[in-house]
Amino acid sequence: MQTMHAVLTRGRCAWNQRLLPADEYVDRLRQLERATRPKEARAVVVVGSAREPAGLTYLANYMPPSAPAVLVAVPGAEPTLFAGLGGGRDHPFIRSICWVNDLRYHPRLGQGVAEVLAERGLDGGSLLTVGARRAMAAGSYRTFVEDLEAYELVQADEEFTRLRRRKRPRELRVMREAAGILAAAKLAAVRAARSGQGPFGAVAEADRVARLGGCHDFRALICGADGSLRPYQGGHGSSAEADSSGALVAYLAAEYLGYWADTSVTYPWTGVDRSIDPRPTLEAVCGAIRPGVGRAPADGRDLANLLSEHAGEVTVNGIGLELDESPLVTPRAAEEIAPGDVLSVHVRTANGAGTAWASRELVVTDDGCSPLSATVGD
Amino acid sequence: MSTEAHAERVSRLREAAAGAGAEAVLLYSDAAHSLLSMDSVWWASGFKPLGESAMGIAPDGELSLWVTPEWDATRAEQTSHATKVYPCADLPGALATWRADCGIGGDELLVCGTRRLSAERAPAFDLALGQGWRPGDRVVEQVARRRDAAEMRSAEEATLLAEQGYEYLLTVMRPGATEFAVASLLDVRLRELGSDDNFVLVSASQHNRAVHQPTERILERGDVFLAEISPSVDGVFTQICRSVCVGEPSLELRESYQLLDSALRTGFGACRPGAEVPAVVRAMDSVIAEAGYGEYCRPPYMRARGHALSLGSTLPGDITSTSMEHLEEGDYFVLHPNQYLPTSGYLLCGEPIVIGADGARLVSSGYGALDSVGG
Repeated sequence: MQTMHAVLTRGRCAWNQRLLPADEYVDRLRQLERATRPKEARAVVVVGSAREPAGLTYLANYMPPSAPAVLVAVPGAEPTLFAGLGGGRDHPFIRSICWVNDLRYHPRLGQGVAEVLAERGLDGGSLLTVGARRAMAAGSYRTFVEDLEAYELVQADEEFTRLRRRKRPRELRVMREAAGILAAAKLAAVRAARSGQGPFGAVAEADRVARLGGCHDFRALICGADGSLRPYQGGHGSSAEADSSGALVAYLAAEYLGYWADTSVTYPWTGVDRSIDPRPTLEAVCGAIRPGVGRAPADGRDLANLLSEHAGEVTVNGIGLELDESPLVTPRAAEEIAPGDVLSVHVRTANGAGTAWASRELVVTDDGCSPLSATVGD
Repeated sequence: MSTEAHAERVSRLREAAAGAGAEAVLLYSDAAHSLLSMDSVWWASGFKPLGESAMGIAPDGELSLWVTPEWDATRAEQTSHATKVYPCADLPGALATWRADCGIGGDELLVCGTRRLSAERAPAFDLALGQGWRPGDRVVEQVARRRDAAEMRSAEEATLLAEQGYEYLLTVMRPGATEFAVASLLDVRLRELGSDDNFVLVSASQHNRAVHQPTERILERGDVFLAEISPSVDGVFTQICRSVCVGEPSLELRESYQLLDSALRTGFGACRPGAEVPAVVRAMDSVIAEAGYGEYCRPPYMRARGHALSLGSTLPGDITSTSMEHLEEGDYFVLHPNQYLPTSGYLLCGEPIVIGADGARLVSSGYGALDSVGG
């Protein structure tokens, strides 16, 4: 689900080396180098920004809070991270959350990358870039390319996305922890609603519990009486302003060590009109998910039919370092589902009398799928 | 924002566009909200974008708002001042259609927000907007620079929330709590009080090197707790910068804070219409240099002596010695001599201000002080 972008993304402001040790990142970088070897590049350059941080967080455990940052990896050499504002004022902090030893600041990222490549003895050849076109504004990207004119820039976003989709064991462990935190938050929301708090108050309670439980970022969408969604925020024209005691139907998401878990809450279920109960559809959609479904119409017939039949009610997308990542499975543009994908499945149904929402997170296995966690469900 | 205030903003925009030789205006937002950059769609429409969005002002004054994701159009209809709201899956395609329907050539179009277009998205927009479209970021920033009454009300409301948030923070900050727990409680509290977002940097150390995002570090007696509290109301951000000692502050710490406080007050006195931004910086730096810390008035010991605050114009930009800007009446920004000193570590001390005809005015209720908790 798409949520309101927060002015300060918090994600990786902590590094839990018990769950995500440095060698995990070293291995991820090696996997990327291996996956892109056929392109015969001499280095990989990964760019991230506050809006598009996933590539950098995956490889460096760093999420830029404002200005873009760049990781330069030359096979066989120490990687370099360009990050921070104000001439490296942030570097002592970044060192505490990032495994990359060679941390630098450069006001012009392309020039900084060129300097590193020159230090490594690379004065030409091809460079693989990941995330640059998405993370950089058009003007900054033009300057970046000009500064690296001695090199041939080859985009490797597709290879990187494929690599990132297959979740590694440590990623699954962190995502299960995130799901556990979210389960406690969801329970807190239900308890608050039961005690008479309006939807905004109930979600604020979930926010408080999620964050005190260890999550670093929290997002929510609150369903209004008219069925429309409002981002969770205070102020004029917001979900808070329309807050009143009543049914709680909301989308909740919690991020832990960079990884997201999401779920939905509908309270009370007893008030939901049976004709809009989303749970049978959720069961049917989850039952139709297996590797290969999506791109091939024949294999994906069941799921495609379900998505068409319930258009506007069902969403199926990948989840991980982003709330909304590949694969995106819709009737209009389905990507093929593959083993290792973690999917977030949501069914939101409404009629004039109300709205109900059910959801589940799934791990795609070699022959089907299984729930990511027993702790967050519908 | 009232309908009248909104109409006034659009009228100013159209006037400026006509002055720049444009027949129509297009505003773009990538919905990546920032303390330091303008969101012209939000500013001009009253609608906070959740996804990529655009607003068009046609030659006849009709206001069109295109919204992604499509399901967010209901909220746009309820909260924006646009004449027409369009749920949209293909934004460049919708803009090309609008331009054709209005009969506007690319060279008749003033476009704002293009600095936020990613390299990936830019080609599709270039195609949709037609050849020769006029980059209008600076024009719109200049129009929005003089904050209107609605924006100043929001700034004052946000500042009041920041001060209430700080008072609350003093009640939850204690040895044994983590930075993140304190920041989380503050963040949720500010939302409950009515903030629509909050840029909060909270960090603590026995000797801070900088302020940064909160971590899992546990507070201990003797820590200096730093808080940049920046809630927003209707998108208008404020910022107060505060330093708190966990326990009794040492004499050195008090003297260091006093020094930055003096620099802030001196800088405040130098802020008036027409003043060069570097002159304000020099005034603040001179106080610190006279105390023997001139070499610390540069990165990485500090970043800037202040900065503009969105939602509206982010002019006059960063308050730095290299700025080319002059202050103007109506400028709104935070002034802060936040920096590292070898005696005390990094300290925060700053207030939001607005430039009036005769000089600066604090938007906050007064200058902050070095506070202490758990003593």
